[in-house]
Amino acid sequence: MFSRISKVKSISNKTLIFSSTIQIGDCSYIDGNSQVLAIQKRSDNFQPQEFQFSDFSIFKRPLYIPRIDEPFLPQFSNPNPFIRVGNVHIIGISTSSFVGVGNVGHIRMESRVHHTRQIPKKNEETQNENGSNET
Amino acid sequence: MEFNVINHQLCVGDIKIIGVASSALFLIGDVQTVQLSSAFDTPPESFIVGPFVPLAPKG
Repeated sequence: MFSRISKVKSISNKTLIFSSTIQIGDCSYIDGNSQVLAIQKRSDNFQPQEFQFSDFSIFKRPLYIPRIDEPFLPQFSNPNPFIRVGNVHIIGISTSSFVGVGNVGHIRMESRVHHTRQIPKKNEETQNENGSNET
Repeated sequence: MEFNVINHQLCVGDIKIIGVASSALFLIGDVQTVQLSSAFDTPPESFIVGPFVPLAPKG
């Protein structure tokens, strides 16, 4: 089994949000998944159930992942058993991302993002500002 | 297929990263398999220029 020892001088990070992970040490599996519905809308009232994941096909289609059953015979030898890294500076880790130091067995990560923009028309915008409903 | 790897010295200086996002991966170490999948969608019908018609509330 190939595995080297990772030597990192330091890690600094400012923000870690939305189910992201910083891991120091080995692990067997990483399985990350994120689904994002990004709505940009200018409106006074938001209906709580106006947008649902099930309304968008990107969240329903099956996951495409590359196959890992290719018939090849890997052989590794490590004359130098260390991975040396200096200082690591990260500003943000977000949406089920992973930052790790150490050896990992298998990794599977998935991300689905849907963007929606709803922009009012110019004349509609001025109507709202004047507070009149003239047509 | 035979695949032979010899890992000699691996020495990296400082690393600066702005962001790791959307199920991305930054790893210092060895790994056996990695499978990454990403889908991003912003179709024409998702760009709506008013007027707004409120959708019927769903039960």
